[in-house]
Amino acid sequence: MRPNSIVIIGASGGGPRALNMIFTGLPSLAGSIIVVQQMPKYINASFCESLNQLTEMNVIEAADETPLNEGCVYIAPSEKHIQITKNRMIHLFNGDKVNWACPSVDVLMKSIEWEPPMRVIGIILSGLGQDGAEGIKHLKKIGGFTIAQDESSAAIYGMPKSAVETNQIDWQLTPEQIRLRLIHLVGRRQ
Amino acid sequence: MKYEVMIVDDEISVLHTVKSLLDEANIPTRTALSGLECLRELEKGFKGLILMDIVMPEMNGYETIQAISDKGYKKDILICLLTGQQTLETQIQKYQDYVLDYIKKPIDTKTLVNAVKQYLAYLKPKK
Repeated sequence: MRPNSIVIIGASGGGPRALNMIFTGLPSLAGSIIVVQQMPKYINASFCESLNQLTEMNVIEAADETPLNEGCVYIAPSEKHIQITKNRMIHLFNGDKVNWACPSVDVLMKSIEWEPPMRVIGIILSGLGQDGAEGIKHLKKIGGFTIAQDESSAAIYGMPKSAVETNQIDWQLTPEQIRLRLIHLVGRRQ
Repeated sequence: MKYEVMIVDDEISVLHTVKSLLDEANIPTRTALSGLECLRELEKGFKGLILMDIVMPEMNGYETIQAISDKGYKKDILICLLTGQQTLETQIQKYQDYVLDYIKKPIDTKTLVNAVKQYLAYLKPKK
């Protein structure tokens, strides 16, 4: 079934620990979550498997030209950019690094379109640099909710800080608080 | 294949402390006192998680990661930086694919052990 919400989570160094905390005990939600985490390609499958053990949601590696489904978490594969076409289909493509990153959080977030009543939520977790800041500005512009991991819980506050400095972040939260906010904003799958 | 943890730090006290914490958790370790020693261990076939200090004489953590990258040690290696530095140099952005995490010194035991277990699990071959 088509999701009522699209959640995009961007992370780099220190992100895996934060993601583990967010997904531990996360119930199946009525939305789709897409995760961009910088990591070596050879751990993509085990990373998915590891997160899948923590949540009731179905965690899978994102595949090109597949539709978003509610209750699913899509992990962006390494070394390809990811976009969502018309808020429905996953599109993977080769390209130069953006903000030193491929996949890039900005590239993904900027592909999301304004389409009420669908909710859009952008989350920036621990990581070095500024990937995701431009994407957050875009999501806010189209009426999305925006969250940055708070400084005390982030291994590296670079990416969350850059997002906060756009003045377009609604909440700065710990990973546990992000999990609760997601449940509240997206709702459980019926 | 047996995956281990390599602790790379020029301070012997740090090596001993981290090693004993991981020993208690039954996590196999080996130690290296410099970036060059780390590279020698890789040449000998080390596979696993490298806990890398940044500030080291002769070859610092960034330079060691650059050498690891140049030598093409890509598969079966993950790196986590152990750092007392509050800010990291932007040059490390180039190695985002390698460096999964940054654990701050002084080291919190629970954080370290949980992170190491999490990252070793990523390296375990698929069933």
